[in-house]
Amino acid sequence: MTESGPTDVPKSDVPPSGAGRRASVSRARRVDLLVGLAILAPTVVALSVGLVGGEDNPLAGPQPPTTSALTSATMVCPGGLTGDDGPVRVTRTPDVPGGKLAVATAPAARGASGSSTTKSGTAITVEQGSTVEVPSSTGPTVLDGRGAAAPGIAAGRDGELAVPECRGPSYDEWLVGVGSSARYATTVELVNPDDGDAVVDLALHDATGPVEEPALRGIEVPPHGVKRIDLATAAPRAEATAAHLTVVRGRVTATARNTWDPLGRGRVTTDFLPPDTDPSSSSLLLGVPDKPAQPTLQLANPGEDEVRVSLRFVTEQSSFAPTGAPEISVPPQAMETVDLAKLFKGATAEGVVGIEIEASGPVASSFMALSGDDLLLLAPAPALDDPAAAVVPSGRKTLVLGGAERTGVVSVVSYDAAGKEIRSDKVEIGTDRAATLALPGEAVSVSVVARTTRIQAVVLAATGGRKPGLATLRVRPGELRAQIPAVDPD
Amino acid sequence: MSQQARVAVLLVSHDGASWLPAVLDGLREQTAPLDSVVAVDTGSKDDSPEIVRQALEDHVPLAVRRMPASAGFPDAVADGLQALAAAGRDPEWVWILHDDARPAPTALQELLAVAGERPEADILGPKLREWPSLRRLLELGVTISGTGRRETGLERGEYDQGQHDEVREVFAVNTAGMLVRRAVLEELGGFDAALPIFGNDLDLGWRAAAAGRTTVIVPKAVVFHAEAAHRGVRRTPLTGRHTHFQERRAALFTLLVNARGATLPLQVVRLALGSVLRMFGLLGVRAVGEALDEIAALASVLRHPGRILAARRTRRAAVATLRGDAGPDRERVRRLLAPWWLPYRHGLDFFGDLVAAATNQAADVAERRRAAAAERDAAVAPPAARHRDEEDDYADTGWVVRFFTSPTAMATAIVVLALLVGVRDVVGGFSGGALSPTPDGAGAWWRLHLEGWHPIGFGSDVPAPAYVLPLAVLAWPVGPSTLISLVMSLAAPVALWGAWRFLRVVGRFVTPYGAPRWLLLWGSVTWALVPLASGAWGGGRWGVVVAAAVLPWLAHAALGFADPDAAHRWRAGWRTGLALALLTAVAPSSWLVLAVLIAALVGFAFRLAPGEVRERSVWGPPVAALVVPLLVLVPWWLPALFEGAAGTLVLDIGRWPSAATSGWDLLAGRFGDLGAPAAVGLVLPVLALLSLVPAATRIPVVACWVVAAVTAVVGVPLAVTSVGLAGGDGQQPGLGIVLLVLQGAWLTAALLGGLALHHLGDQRRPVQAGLALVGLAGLVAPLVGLVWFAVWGGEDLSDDPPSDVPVYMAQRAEQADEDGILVLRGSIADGLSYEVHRGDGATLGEDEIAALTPEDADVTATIRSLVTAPDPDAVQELSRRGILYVVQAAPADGAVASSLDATTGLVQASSSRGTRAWQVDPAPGPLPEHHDWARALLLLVQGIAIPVLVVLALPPLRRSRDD
Repeated sequence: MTESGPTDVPKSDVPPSGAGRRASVSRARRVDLLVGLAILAPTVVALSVGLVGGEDNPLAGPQPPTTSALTSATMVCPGGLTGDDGPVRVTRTPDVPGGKLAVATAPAARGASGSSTTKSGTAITVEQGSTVEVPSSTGPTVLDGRGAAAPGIAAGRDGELAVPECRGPSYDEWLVGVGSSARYATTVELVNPDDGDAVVDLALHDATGPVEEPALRGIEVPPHGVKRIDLATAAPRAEATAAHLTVVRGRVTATARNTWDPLGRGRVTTDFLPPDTDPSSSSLLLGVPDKPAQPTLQLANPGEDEVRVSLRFVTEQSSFAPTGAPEISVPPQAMETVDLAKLFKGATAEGVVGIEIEASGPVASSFMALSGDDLLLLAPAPALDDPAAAVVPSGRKTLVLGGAERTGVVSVVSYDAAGKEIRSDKVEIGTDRAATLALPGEAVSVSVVARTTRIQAVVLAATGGRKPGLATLRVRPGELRAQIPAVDPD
Repeated sequence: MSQQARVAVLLVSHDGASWLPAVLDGLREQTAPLDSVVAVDTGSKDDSPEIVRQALEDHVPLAVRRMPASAGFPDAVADGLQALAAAGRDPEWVWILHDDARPAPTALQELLAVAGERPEADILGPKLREWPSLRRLLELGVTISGTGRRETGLERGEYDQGQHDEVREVFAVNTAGMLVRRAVLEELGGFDAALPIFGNDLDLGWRAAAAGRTTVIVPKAVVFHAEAAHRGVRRTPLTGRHTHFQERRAALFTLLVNARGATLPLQVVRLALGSVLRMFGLLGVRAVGEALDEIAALASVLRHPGRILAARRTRRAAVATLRGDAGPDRERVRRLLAPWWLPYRHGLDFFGDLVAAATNQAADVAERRRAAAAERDAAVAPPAARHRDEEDDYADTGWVVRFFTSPTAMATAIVVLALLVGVRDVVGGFSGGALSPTPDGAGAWWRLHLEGWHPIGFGSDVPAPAYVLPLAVLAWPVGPSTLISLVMSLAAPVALWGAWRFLRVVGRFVTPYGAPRWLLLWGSVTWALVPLASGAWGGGRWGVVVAAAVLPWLAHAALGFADPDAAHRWRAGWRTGLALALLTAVAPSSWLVLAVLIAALVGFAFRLAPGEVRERSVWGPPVAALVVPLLVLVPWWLPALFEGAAGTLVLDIGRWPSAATSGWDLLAGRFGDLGAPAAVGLVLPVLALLSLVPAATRIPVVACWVVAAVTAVVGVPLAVTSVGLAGGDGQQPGLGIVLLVLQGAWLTAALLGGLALHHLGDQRRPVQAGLALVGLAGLVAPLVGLVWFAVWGGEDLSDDPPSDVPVYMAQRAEQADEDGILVLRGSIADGLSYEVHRGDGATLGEDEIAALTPEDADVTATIRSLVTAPDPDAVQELSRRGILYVVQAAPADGAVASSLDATTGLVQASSSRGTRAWQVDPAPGPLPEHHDWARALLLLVQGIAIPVLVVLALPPLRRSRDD
């Protein structure tokens, strides 16, 4: 609506008295002005509209967190396979000062299910470059560092054929390939390091999708409690599933033990099932043994869309797609089991130390095989951006490195039980290939420092003798910095 | 009449030299004999007593008495009666005359005749006609209404055609020409000295009726009355300059002293409330002096309760003397008093007049301009209207017949029905898109408007949006939810009505015949569909919807800038300003757009006619129109500038972010992906472009295009910038008004172009075909829009997603402001955002305050500390700032959740799966009180400005009895 239009009109439409002469004199000029405006005004409108063009509101995207010194860190070491496994050893990642750690321990586990409580014990002091044994730590052990003592705690436990991972609490992770049958059974150990209750949900997913299992919902772990759940008892099922573990209250460190029982036709063997904490569309399963028996890849799709997965083998020389590699598709919310036996037959599979998974969407994965009748379970190893340290099992062992994003040199230093440096190695690593390094037998801890690239590292500890087998341990990044989220009003 | 009754004339004068000679002539011409004349003069400064003496001395026995100027009429009458007694005269009747009341020659004769026929009559009054017009009736007996109004039962300025000529009993008669039995007058105690000038006749009549005396009106007796005192022509020390004050004081006093004792307290309350109401009414018609008189009269009467009680005692005593135990003659009084409903009837009439005058005052700008032009140049005679009004065509038929035989009325009805079908979703309250849910009661809006500090988020000093005040006022009778439903459903019909009125005047500007009805219908329907088809309705952009309803009314008011009369122009300025204030409240960038447009208009006008525009009453009103919103909306824009929320001055109202508007959208009249098919929207600009072709209407069409061009240019900086909101998102400033003005300008241009269509027959055939095609396109476009809206219009209005806040927490939050809920969203990796749910959540009005409140760095730091590591101090800080619960919306980041789990002072609370919740311990105490005197001052300015401007914008309605 316009007010200038009509108001201007009468001035020319109904000439005021005495204005007639003036109007006739200037008529020619006024007509020109009118035509000019008739062309100019629409042009201005068109230009303005063109100038406006397509507009969009600027939106604030995701904002990465900043970091600061870590002031609080908790590390939980689950109990060993048997009660007589070695004690927990604690060391530090390079370049951190170290300090005093509070310790709480629980008695070693008896039986597949049950619960116990951790009691605080004598504090230990772990300085840079030292390895300290935690007294009476055969059972689940909680380490807690505050202030300067928080950054860079690395801990581990010795064990034959299977070593557990010591790690901090996590909230959302996938245990891909848990069993609930007599042949293949999983025990989940939940440790609550805090003063408050913790509640955990375990959601199972089988080949068709989510499985309703009310018994695994709302599992309560009392303050400082340790709770072991035998899935075969709590939720018996014939086939393996993927368990999505979410902590709905408090903090919990979960550890899964899978036991393979051929029911009289062989050796009963157990290994820790490492969790996949970060389902991703590209992951690397490092630590594949030589000539694995019954190699099986297990994939779980947390998304709502079907995911297509292809895989490549990684050796020390290259990575390649094995001939006859199946095109795998994982239905939404389902777990898919892929038999890789055919691919590992023949010469092409020699020297394979890793399996690279490329998927059209995030997938969680694990690899299961038997190595000399010993169960072996692998999951994608976490990427190491910073100097990392690991407490390694005793005996013959190999460090497998992979997942480099660019060519670089990894410096590996081995320490003995006294914290003395035994050996220092430089390992060259490149993209699309892995590298292995035999570690000194007496090494108790190693530090892994890659300055130019992020890498993944897994320690393979082989056991010979009467019960041959292989234990694997993922080298985990040390918690060095606290992440401070970007906080904004909504 | 066997025996001639003896009549003494009592003539009271005060500075009456201008009328007295004629009055005395009248006296001398009386056909009935006069016994004697007593002339009482109350301190005249002129030679009134001398005039009387000279005129009457030789004709009748005369006594001339002088009294001081402080003596009132009752004193003068009492003095006259004393003079009669002193002179030993004992007339049966006293005939009271004023110095401005000239009796017709037969007046006394007729009065006496009736007195003879009706012996029960003690007081008789003549028919009063206006002097000097002589024909118009003033009074035929009077009565008093419950509010103290003097009721004559006559229309204003009624001519005497014998229509009331019957002798009947009345409540009271005017003292001018009153014939009263001397004995009765003395029995009743004469006139009450407390009523010196006005209202003593009513009081006397009331007392007479209560005493069982009969008052009769004698229409055949005629007295011409100048009503010098009432009209303020005669000023005495007793009337002062405030005639209205004296009249009201007298009326209130009369009512209070004569009313029944049982109802006295009720009467006091009623009269007090009535006086206040009347005061506002008088202010509404800019009669400030009378309004003050009104309230002063009330105070003056009520200040002396003793006088009222004393007067009541006197009356009781008089009645007791005259009637003994029978008590006052209540039946007679009740019969003669005005009916109870009369004041309400008057109020209704007054309101109706006001509305009619307010809505019609700009309707005939074009006509007035033409009339003014015709006055200047007699050769330009106003042409006969080609389109007569329907009223003339169907003057004799009923409205039903008129409705069903008028295609325009039928089409309008169908359109309005279709619009109402389209808005069916509003039934039962609704929200979605940019429209937030409404609060539970209007009180929430009042609070939002009045308080300077809002318990929103962590507290906000950002002022309430400007539209909150009108919403609060309008929501008072119906409640917020119904109000928003009503606004959303009635906006389109109101827009249609406004567009019709505006386009009609525009049509009359361009051609004396006006635009044909069908073209007006097309134009107004197309306009009403602009906000609906644009998707503003479906997207919940209610500000744009309301702006579309207000804009044509504003434009209509702004046409008054071209009025030939300066007073009309000023009123147009105030009205345009008020409309612009409303428009700015619902579409804040309107002020900017209109300011540039008005500047351009004044600039153009200055180029065309510098001499005229230099006059203040020409450039003043448009400028005033721009200043009014600044004044009326000052509690909004001024604090917004200081509180860092200047974005509110340019953003379209509603919940942000709303989709940005592109240049293409402006062209097609669409908001983003909402709305009817865009191709339909392009018809209007194309029609407007084609309208430039006909030479006859080219000037106004070009003017429309200039408006469009200026608006489009203003739109560019608005469109390409962005205002930062809380949370880091940006929002494009509001282009709603730009879109509306563009569409409106094109629509007006197209309508003006359509005026050229009636010369269709003169064109060549191919041209005819082309024009027909264009016309068809123009016809189909609004039809498509209408059908689209009626069927799919409300589809985009989706309900709000369910809240993350558990129900029990929301209920708790509603109970107290301090029980806020801190809602955290996001993760450590991607950043966390927080918001506070307080009260009943972010309701209409509050959402904008929340979005514009600048981030409080301390709060953000506290929350960052809380989510990074367990921090009991941060919890205490939250409690201090009024947070009772912390909720982490699904999907909850476990790292944050565990940190909060481990924090002392946070107790885990139940919540739905995926969401985490904690209760803050200790629970927060009441939030600190805030008193903002600056806000109170701004509200005061607003509170005074609005009524004053409304009064200024209203047409003059108060007419005296002289008109």
